[in-house]
Amino acid sequence: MSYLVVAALVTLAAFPSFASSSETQTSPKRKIASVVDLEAEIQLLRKQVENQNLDGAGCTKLFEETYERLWSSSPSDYAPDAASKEVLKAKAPRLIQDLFQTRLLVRQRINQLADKGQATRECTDAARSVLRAGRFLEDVLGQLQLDFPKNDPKNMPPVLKGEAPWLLVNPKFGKFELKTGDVLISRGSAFTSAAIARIADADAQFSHAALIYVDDKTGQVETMEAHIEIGSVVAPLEKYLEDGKTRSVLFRHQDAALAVRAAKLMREEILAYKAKHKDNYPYDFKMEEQNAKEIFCSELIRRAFELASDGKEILPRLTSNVNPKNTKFIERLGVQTGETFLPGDVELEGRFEMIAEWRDYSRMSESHIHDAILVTMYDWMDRYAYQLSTRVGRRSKNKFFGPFAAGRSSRRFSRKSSRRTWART
Amino acid sequence: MGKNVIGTVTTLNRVSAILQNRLISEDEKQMKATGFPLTPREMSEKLEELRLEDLGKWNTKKSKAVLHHVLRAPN
Repeated sequence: MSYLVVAALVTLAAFPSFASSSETQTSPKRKIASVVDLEAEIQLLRKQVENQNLDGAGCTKLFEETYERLWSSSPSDYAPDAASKEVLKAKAPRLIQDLFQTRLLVRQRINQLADKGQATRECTDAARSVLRAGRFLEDVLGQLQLDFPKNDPKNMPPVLKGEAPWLLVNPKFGKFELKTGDVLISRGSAFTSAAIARIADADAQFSHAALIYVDDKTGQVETMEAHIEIGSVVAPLEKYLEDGKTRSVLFRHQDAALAVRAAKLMREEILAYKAKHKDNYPYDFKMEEQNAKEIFCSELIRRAFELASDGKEILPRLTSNVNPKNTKFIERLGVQTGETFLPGDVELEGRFEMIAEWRDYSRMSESHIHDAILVTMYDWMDRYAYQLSTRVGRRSKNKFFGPFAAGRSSRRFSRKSSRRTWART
Repeated sequence: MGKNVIGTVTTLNRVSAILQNRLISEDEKQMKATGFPLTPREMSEKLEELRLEDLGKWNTKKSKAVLHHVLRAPN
């Protein structure tokens, strides 16, 4: 008996947030004030996501409240001094794995809810927020573990290579290699990448999607991608890797035969178009799902699976909604409002298994800054009816970069400048 | 690709560069003080400070403003 009491007290001391679980579940504004709180928060989310009784309304509440707690807490709140920071650093590898596994569970649960018709827009948007917050937390913990940005990333592993925290692999797959029909979603390093990632009502962290083809005889790996600058192309994987990815996540369709057929048919279609028109399949600036004459990056994935299934496999099940209050910006880009299939939607697509996720820690701070800028800029556009003025002459150019530019960014991000107008997305 | 798209993206890059420079400076300060970067919420707060500061300049001495030349509500 006394052992049980002692064990219970030890558990309560180690996980104070479990001490009053009902309070935790109904206190979205409770702060994460220590490393122990953070661990408890992650464990609690995992436990609640595993709850088979979670329904659509419960999903919205759970994810909105978890997001609120994660988002309103800063690492400097739960690791304010050198000692607690060392504790956090020591625990970072396990916390990153816990967060990653929890994100896999969130995907699974959302799709179970979708099967039952309970994955409402509110629920899926809240889930996207939690996935984004979890990924951000992993970024920060990984930076702490690797001692970035102080540590010069000379030995950085290439895209989809290396070990944790660079590469996180779904335990279900262990060692993996690319297969025909695999889908890669990624995040580029340009401002336009952030603009695409954050264009929908629910923010995402991905700006591009590519389909993989592996030659049976030579083993050569190619990607099929729709680029803003050049349209749809079939290119060696090396070209994809050269573009400078901040993040890259590998997905695999559950139906392997369908995925192989999808990649082969799409490859044939892109090459046939090029042979006939002496030009690439044009890019779809409108991001219209039903426009077969032009294709944008995630539409290429959709079209491939639609072709391979004679129109039966329509992606995605959970779409994004592009519906800002102030439509001037997206109108100028030519993007149409409404439901669409954005690269980030692959993340929630239950017919795909998430195999592995890779990130470049040397670009992470830059990526976070780009995200914050675009989110804030879109917010200003909605809130204050702000517009981008494109009537700015060259003579004025220096004025914009004058007092604030002064080369500060080039010092920190000089290796991989993000000022390219048309960097790959 | 239309001129509208190129012009819009060019301006987007200009505005973003202005905001990025401000955030880098604030992020460096935060790193020195706490050892952690700014959170997204803190970044948005810093950007709002910049907007208000710049709006003040735009309303008094336009030449000192850097943001509101390219991003503002139409008159």
